[in-house]
Amino acid sequence: MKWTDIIGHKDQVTMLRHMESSRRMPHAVLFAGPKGIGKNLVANVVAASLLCSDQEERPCGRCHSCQQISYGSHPDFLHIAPDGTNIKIEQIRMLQQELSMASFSGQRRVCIIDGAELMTTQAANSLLKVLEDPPGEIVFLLLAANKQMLLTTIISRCMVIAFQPLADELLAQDLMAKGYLPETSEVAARLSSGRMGIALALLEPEGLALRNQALEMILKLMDSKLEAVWHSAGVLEKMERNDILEFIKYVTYILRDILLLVTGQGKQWLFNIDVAEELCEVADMWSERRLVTAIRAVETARRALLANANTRLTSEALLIRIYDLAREV
Amino acid sequence: MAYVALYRQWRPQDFENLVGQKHISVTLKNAIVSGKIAHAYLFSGPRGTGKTSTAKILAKSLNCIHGPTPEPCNVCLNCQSINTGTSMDVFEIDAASNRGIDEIRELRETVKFAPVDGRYKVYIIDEVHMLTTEAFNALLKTLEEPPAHVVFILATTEAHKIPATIHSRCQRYDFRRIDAEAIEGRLTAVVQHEGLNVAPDALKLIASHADGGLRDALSILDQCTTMENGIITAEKVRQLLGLIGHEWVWSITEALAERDFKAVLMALGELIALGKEVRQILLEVALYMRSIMLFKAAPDIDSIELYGDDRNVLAKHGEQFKHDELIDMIKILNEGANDAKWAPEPRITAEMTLLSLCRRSAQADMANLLERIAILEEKVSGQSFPRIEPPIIKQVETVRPPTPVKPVVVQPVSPKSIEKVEVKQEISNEQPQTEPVVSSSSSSSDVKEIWDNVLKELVAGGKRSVHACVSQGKLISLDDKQAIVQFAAAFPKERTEKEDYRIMIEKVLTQFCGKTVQLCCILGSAAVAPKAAALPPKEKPVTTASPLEEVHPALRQAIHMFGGKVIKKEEYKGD
Repeated sequence: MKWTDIIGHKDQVTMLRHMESSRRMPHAVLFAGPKGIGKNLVANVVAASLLCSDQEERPCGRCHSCQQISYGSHPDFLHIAPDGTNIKIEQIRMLQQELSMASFSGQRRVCIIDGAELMTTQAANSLLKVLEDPPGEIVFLLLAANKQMLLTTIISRCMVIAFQPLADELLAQDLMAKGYLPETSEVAARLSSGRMGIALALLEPEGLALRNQALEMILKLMDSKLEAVWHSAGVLEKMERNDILEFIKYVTYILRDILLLVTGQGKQWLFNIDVAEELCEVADMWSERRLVTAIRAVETARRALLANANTRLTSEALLIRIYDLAREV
Repeated sequence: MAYVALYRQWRPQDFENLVGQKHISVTLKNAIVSGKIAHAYLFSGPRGTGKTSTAKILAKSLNCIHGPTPEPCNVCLNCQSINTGTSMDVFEIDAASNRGIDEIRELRETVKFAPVDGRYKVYIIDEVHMLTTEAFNALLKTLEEPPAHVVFILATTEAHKIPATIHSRCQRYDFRRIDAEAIEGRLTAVVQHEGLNVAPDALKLIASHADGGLRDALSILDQCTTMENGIITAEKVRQLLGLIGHEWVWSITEALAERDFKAVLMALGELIALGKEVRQILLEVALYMRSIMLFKAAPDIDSIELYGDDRNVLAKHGEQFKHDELIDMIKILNEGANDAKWAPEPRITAEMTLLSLCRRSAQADMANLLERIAILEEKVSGQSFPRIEPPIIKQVETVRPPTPVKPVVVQPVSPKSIEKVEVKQEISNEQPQTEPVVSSSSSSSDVKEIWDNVLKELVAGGKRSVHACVSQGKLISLDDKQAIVQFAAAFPKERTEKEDYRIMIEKVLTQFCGKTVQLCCILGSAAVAPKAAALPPKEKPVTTASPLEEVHPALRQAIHMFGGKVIKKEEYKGD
């Protein structure tokens, strides 16, 4: 685990390294940025370098502390992650109790709170005091995918470091450097919208399966009969909840790509660059207004699914809507 | 020694250093001087405005060796121990972690003992909104009549969560958001004292971005100083905060004024590649639109802070937008920014928002809208009626004799439709020579056969949804120009009348009778009414003699003024 393992996020890494080397690390830092962007990796490197005992290069990867971290057994490295769907107040109470005692090594401690936006209201509030005036020397690293979900009182106690998706080209280059094929890297980079973790998942075998399924379904809706709706809805019903949401995301991507083609923007901004041909073919069937309506309909369906609506009914309604919109003269 | 964040180093230690809360510090100081110290205070206000700090200052003022004094010395033993949090008499309780009734019971146990070093026992209950209902209620009695040596200070950001019974037992102090100038002043003091190198406009930017919280401002300043060794400029602060910057916002605004979606998309793509947050882009464009709007409304306004100080640019952009347009655009942008919060791919949300901004003209322009209505009205009055005119006039003429006594409104359904069939036959009898297919189809069994074929053809062609809708109707007449289909319900009729279905059915009909026919849909019972209304007076004076003649004059006038048709209310007939 080294600074050089981190791809992109140059500004953030420079800043963190500077803070670390000049010993000006604030006691509470909030990493905000979408899922799969590399926050966890950066946080772990920061933690390792804060705990490393080497004088020259931290993290060195050789000292006792670095070894312990790589085995996940460092006593002064605390890691809090959601227990189930939330971080609960008991976890924060345990943390407070832990912090009330001196650190194991007598040196500073590092506490990573992964998924900080998933803290319950009670947990978040009970963190406030210790986050403002922690006992002893400790650095809190809060990782949040959605900064808006945090209490303002938490945000205001932290130094916020925002992580943004990488540029597509940069990510594609890095993927190619890792040994992936240029075409697949390009597609993965675009579809992951610059998030390394997601791009890697897409490059797994079967990683693009859901996308292809979504594309196939849309193409089917365009050129065949209404039976396709019942068939596809049946397939959707059997999917896992997360898969459906993912599926719906790809439907949005595809419709948005068609929208760009219909408005005559060319192919440079497409997400689904690998299937641009197919999309161009169906683009004639659509008009801008209907696509906008369709994308809104997908969003409505997504919200309904998030609110635990019946999967079959929601997907049927959505598919019929798309079917009708594609045919409206 | 570990690095201590600026906002902890610069916590105010006396009332003098409390920024932006003059109304509170003056009141509290006077209370201390005059010895009117309440037994319970409630401090509320947004984050970073000094609630906890004030509570600590108040505790020191009460327990300072030289006091109760409005100016705690900060050097005596008592002040020192309060500053380091080791005082035996000042309890800083985190109500969010100790929120149950048991903790409050423990607290009540300790309240009765006299203070150790100072004069007062001060209980600072921070984040008090997180106490449970039971805990609040357990506190009520103690809070109302505590021993003379006890002062409670409750602090919270969410005063609305405090029960009214607690409220009424406390003196409430509302902390205000600190205005940007006060924050800037404090930052300047910090910068000077710490020997930092920060440009004044950078401080201004930090102050305005802190949004009323001094802690936020010091946090940002801290971040800036750890990032850079050299001088901190506004540009660096902007980069650190992820702000988009004027130039980009200006170019997006110009593209929006031109309705150039491509240029907007380019700008968006580049900004995202630069690592800017999508939502921030929308918000800043919205902010700038607001500035344009305000500038247009009152160009010489000075007191309101405008995004993008350059008034020449503002004036230039102001000319390119209308007022209504700006209001609509701001609305769309705000909605987009809101959606982007929860969207799985904010980029798409932003693109859709910007697209609708580029296509805004249609909805935004009021004059344009009126014009369109006018065109529509013209179309409605000019086009839709003539289409069904010729046969109807005849029909009405023939229909008239049997119907004169009955008012249209309550006419029963069945006789009407029978009449209709008769009428149709008459019509086709009048012109049997025109087309052999039509003449053969004029008998009702033939019409039925054709209709069945049409329906079958629709199913065979995979138009199931069309079939489902159309099959509810019945073809009641067919001549060389027109096919009249009668429906019992309004919805399938309206749906069939829509262009897509109509064209489809007309095509199939043409296939079967070899002539281009126009589809005309009528509603089972109310069939006559629209036709009667459709009769243009200029064509034939006959209109006056139509069944409407028997209708109440008020209804006739209404139809004359508003158009439309008379629909029977069936339930009346049933009763």
